[in-house]
Parts: sequence; C-alpha cells; structure tokens
Amino acid sequence: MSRVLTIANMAFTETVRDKILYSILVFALAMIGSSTILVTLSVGGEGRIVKDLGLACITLFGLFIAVFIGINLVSREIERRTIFSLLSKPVRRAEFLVGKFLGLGLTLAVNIGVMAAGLLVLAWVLEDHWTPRILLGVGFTFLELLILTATAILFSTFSTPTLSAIYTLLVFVIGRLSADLMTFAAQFGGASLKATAVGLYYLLPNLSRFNLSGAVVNDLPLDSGTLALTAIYGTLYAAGILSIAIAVFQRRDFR
Amino acid sequence: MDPIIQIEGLCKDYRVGFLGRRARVLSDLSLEVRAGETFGYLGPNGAGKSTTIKLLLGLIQPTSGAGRVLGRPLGDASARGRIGFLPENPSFYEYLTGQEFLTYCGRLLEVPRGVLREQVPALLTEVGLDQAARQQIRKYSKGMVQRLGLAQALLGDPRLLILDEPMSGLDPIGRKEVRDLILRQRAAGRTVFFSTHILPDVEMVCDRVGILVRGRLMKSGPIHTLLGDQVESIELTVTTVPPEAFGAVERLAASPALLQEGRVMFRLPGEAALDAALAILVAAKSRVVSVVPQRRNLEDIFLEASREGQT
Amino acid sequence: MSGSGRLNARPPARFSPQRLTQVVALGIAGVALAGALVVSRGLQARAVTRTEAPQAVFFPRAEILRPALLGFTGLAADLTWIRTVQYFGSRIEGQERFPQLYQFVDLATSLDPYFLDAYQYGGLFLTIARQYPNAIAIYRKGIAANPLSWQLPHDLGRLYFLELQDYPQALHWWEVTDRLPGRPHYIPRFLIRLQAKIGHLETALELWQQMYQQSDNEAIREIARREIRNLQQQMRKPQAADPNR
Repeated sequence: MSRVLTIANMAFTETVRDKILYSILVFALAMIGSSTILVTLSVGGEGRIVKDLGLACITLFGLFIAVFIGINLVSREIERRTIFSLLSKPVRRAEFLVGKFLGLGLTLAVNIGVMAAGLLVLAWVLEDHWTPRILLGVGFTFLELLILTATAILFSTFSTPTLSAIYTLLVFVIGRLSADLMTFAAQFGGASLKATAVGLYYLLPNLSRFNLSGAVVNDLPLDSGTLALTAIYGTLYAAGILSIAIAVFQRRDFR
Repeated sequence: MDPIIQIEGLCKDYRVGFLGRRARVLSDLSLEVRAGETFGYLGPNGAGKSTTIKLLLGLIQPTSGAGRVLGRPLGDASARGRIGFLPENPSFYEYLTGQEFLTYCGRLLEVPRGVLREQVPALLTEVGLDQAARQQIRKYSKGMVQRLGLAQALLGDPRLLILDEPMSGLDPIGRKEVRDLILRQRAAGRTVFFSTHILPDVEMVCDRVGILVRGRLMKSGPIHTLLGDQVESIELTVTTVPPEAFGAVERLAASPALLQEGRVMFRLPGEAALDAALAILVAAKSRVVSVVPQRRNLEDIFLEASREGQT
Repeated sequence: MSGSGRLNARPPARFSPQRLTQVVALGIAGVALAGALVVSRGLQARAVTRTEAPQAVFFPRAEILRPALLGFTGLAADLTWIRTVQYFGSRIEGQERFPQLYQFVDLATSLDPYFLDAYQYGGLFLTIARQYPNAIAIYRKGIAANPLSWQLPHDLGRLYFLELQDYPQALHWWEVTDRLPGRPHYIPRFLIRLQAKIGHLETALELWQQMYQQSDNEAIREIARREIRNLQQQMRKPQAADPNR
C-alpha cells in the first residue's frame, strides 16, 4: 500500500511540475470568466449562462487533463524507459497502475477544484445565482472524468499515445451519446441495429447520467436514490476498467 | 547453498514485422550464478544479453523454460527487493533531482526513512554525485546518469546486483571507477551479474564468464578454465645482445625478434625454448629485462566463440 | 576563442551576406504588411457600404442537433437565446420585421424546455413584434413543459387581455395561474374583475364578497368594498350598460 501511495504522490508531483497544466488552467478560468461578457449580451437567462458555461468548461478542460496527462503518465514512462527503474523494484505492476490512477485523480481533483472555485466565486458575485447544487454537478463531472481517466490508462497500457488519446475521446463521445443511441435504435432500428446499440450501451459507460447541468441550472428536482445509484455505477465502472488495465499490463513485455 | 541465479532451457521468441513472424532471440539458455560470484555476461551487440537480464527481472516473459533468482521464480516481486538493477542506457525522471530520485526509489524499496536519510547522501558520495545531488537530472551528463543508476542499484543493500552494460558511455576514468565499485561489492560478499562487450574490464573483475552469441550460450565457466593455463608463447626482452647470441636465439624463436630502443624482444614457443635461450644469453653476458608468459586472452576466446556462433 | 581570425564572434560586417539577407527580409516584411493593412481597410470599407443583406440563418431541428451537442444542450440553448436577444435588439430600433424571431425562440426552448426566461421574454418579444399566434404557441409550449410555473399562464392571460381583448381566454389562463404555487396576490382580483367584464356580474359580486369576508388585509378589504359598491351600482343601471369599459 505504501508503494501505491509513493507512486501516487510522485505522479501528482510530476503533473504539478508540468507547465502545460498551468496553461490549461489559466485558459479554463479565462473561459469561465468570459461568461461575464456573455451575461451583458443577454436579457433573461443571465444566471444560466454562467453555470452552463462554467460546468461545460470544467468538463472539457477536465477531459483534456484526464486524457493527455493520463496518457503521458503511462505511455511516456514506457516510451522513455523510466519504467524500468520502477518495475525492477518490488513494485507490482498492479501497484504501478493504481498509483498512477490515484495520482492523476488527485491532480484532476485539484484542478477541478480550482475551476469550480472560480465558477462559484463568479456565480456568487453575480448575486442570486449561487447554488450549492453547482458542487453536486461538479462532483458528478469528476466521477465522469475518473471513468475517462481509467479508460485512458487502459488504452495506454497497450497502445501508442496518439491512438490512446483518440480512443479515449471516442469513448467520451459515444458514452455521452449512448442513451440517445438506444432511443434511436428502439425507434428506427432493425433487430441487429438494436442489438448493437444495446451492446454498446451496456459495454461503454453511459456518461449522460453524470451530466447534471440541466438539473443544476433549471433547479429541477433530483432523486437522491438515483444519484446514489449513479455514483455507485460510476465507481464500479471505473474500477472495472482499471482492473482490465491491470490484467493487460501483467502480460506486457517491456523491450 | 543454492545458486543465486539458476536458468534452465530458457527460450524467448519475439513476433517481428508486419506478418508477425517469430524470431527466436534466446535458445535453450541454461546458466548458473553462485553466491558471492562476479559473473561477466559477454556477447556481441544483439546477442540477447539484455533480453536475458529482463527475463531475470520479470520485465519480459519467457516463451519456454524456467529459472529462479534468489530462490524465487523469475519475475517474483519479493525477490526484486533484494536485487539492484542498472538498465542499459538508463533514463530517469528528468524533473527530479538526483537526491529526490534516490529517495523515491528508497521508498519504493520500503527502506525506513531514517536509514534512507543516511543512505542517500552516502551513496551519492560513493558514486561521486554529491555535488550534483540537488540538480535536476535533466542537467546530468551521460556519465552522471550512469553513476546515478549505480547508486539506485545499490540502494537497500541488495544481495544481487544485475548491471546491464554498466561501463557504456563512460570514459576510462569512469570505467575504472565502475570496476572498482564492482570489486568493492565483491569484497562485501555481493553477487554481481553484469553484461558487457568491453573485454579488458571483464578479465580484471570476474570470476566466471558466459559468452552469448545469437541467443546461444557458446561458452561459460571460470575464466582461468576457459583461458587455460596453457602458455602459448613467452616474450623475452633483453639488452646487450652480441650478434651470434642474437642469431642463435632467433632461430629458437617462433617469429622475428623486435628491436626497440636498444632492447630486443624474442617470442619463444615454450618453456624448453626459453631455457635454451636463457642459457645462450646468460653465457653471452646479456641482461634480461623481462620474461612474460603469454596465455590466451579473453579476446581470443570471444572471437572464437563468435565464429562458432555464426555457423 | 581567439586567434582563429575568421571564427571570431564580431557581428557581421556591413555588407556581409547575413546582413544583406536581414535587410532584404525586413524590407519585404514591411512592404507585405503595409500592403495587407491597405487591403484590410479596403475590405472593411466594402463591408460597411454593402447594405446588410438579410442573413438566412440555418435553423437545425433540435432533435437532430441534440445528440451532436454531447450533453451540452443547456449551453447551446443559452447561446441560441443570446443570439435571439441580439436578433431582436438589432431590429427593434429600425422598426423592422422579425421574420426569424419565432424560429430562434423555438430553437432555444426546444434545446432546453425548462428555460423559463426564454419562454417569457420570447413570448414578450413576439408580442411586441405583433406575432400573436407565434407568441401564444410559445407560451403554450412552455406551459406544457413547465406545468408548475405560474409566470407562463400569467403572461399568456395578459396577452389575451391586453392585446387581443379575448376575455374568456384571459379568464381561463388566469384561472390556471390562480391554482399554481407562488402566483401573485393580484390574480384573484383580476379574475373577479374579468368575470364582471364579461358580464357575469353576480358571480363577480359573490366573489368580491367572499374576498372581503376572507381577507384580513385592510387594503384588500378596502378594494373589495369599493368593487362591491361599483358592481352594485352597475347592476342597478339599465342593461344597456356596456360590460366592457
């Protein structure tokens, strides 16, 4: 366990020292701040634009961080052979992956925390538009990003960095579409299309469940039972993906 | 006592190229390294030395065959806690300083913090990196990286050192330091297994050697056994040689004598010839400067093994 | 490194090849950028002098657009709404027509059916643009999607009352409003007045009396008292009295 935490700590340190992270963060905060300009262009719906844009930015920039830094974390180690000095120690391959995952999770949490703080400050400053539900929305976005982080790590255990990035982004797109796909197939599809759609739906994560921005912005009722189940679903799915990554990693040769 | 390293019938295939054809990189490798030995693993580039080492450490999986390291199966994690490994052309996290990196490795080895606090500076000093301890590794020269690699291999008091081309990229001073380090480890009772293609280092340092050519172990055993005690020729260097004595001795010699700055060197085919030559020269009142028996050296054996391996 | 004449680090001499290349490159840069500036100003002038041709905005159907938005539909609704406000605001001064206003509002509200402000302001804009059927359609769409919101039936009732003078419809929608949580306090009074307006004077009188008895707010009781007096006066007048004011 201590080895896992050591690796997690080092993964976090590594990303913190990566200057690209700061550029992404500054850009994200700027985008969130730009909602103040958009507010002046509108009549009605002012509070919405701040929250909608803020949550969208957190999702997208969080996605960038999860995908690109996550892939670097594993692929770069393998590519540059720095992994030899790790795996020749009594570090099990599973510990390596879990440690990297935790480290990246912490990085994500910190970055999302900063962006969320910016959003909350903005929402509070613009009066009347602050709601604690924003935190709930951010929390579920974080869970969605953890799933994508695990996915990025899975792909980078056996694929090149570029392909891993593409596959992970594809999972994000399909994951967000899978609910719509099901509906579409139910209405229009033949049997084989329905089967494919259902297969994809259960195989890939249904990411639209983690998107609470509609409920947050419109103050719609949220069922705590559904939320709890969604949280469990997210955790189980991420754990499952990480486990597959560990299994693949076990048999990998490091030339 | 059980051998520290024990390999039997180890084979490794790789899939090469678009069609995934199988290429056999190691064939039926069997090898033993005993406790306290320094074993030199030799071979031309591409022979499979690094592959063997990676199999020992579990970085790659064997296609067939088995082995044990420190009594545990290949790739066992707990065995790795007692092994210090230096990879070929090592690279380490550039954004860390030398000290941070060693501390990180030490924590992965679960060395207690107190011990680590002492060990890290001590090791850095031993490999001559105490000045650069707080510099980022990205600023290290190749030699410095190599030395840092040795330091991290020595962390945690390993029983077995596995070094892949430890001398590569070092200048003669660096190579001597590494040789000295290996000798120190040997004196401390550690087993050292290292691969190299630089022969002179090996002769000075190893107890046993193995020569790998194209994935096959062509020769292995203690150095003096391989080299044999057989004296191939004797170099006799003398001064003040009168011409008749010169001619007489040269007839005994296997090849023409060498003349250099007033000295003459004869290459005599054996002890009998040597005795006869000395008799002549002493009678002629010549002065003997040196008598050096020439045995087969490692290079000869290496080239012989390479030739055998090519067929 | 001294001593090797040609390799010293003095800057290039006046007419050396490197200096010449530098000068030429800078010269080309100056000419090219100046030319670009001139052309840019020309383009700007053209854009201003050309009368703004009506931009045919392409309105995708919300159901088709939705999957492509990957869950960011709320944001898309917001951006569509901003565009709507800009569209309306840019034309209101010139007293032009608003041919695409309905499509804008319809798209924004289709992307997010819970976007109350879009229905409310959209309906208002459409009313100002005198597109009453469109406005009614938007309000009804909003009411269907947000049955618990009192603002939308309230605004629809107002539209019928003020613009269309359709009192039965106004009455209906304000009755709907009356049943919804958070509705303004003046709704019940509006209802009773409307009853009177469409000729249901007895009903109106009854309701005022009810309000007078039930309310403990002195201002309201005063209003009720006044209305009761007015109605009783009206009822005593001959039937020729026009129920509409």
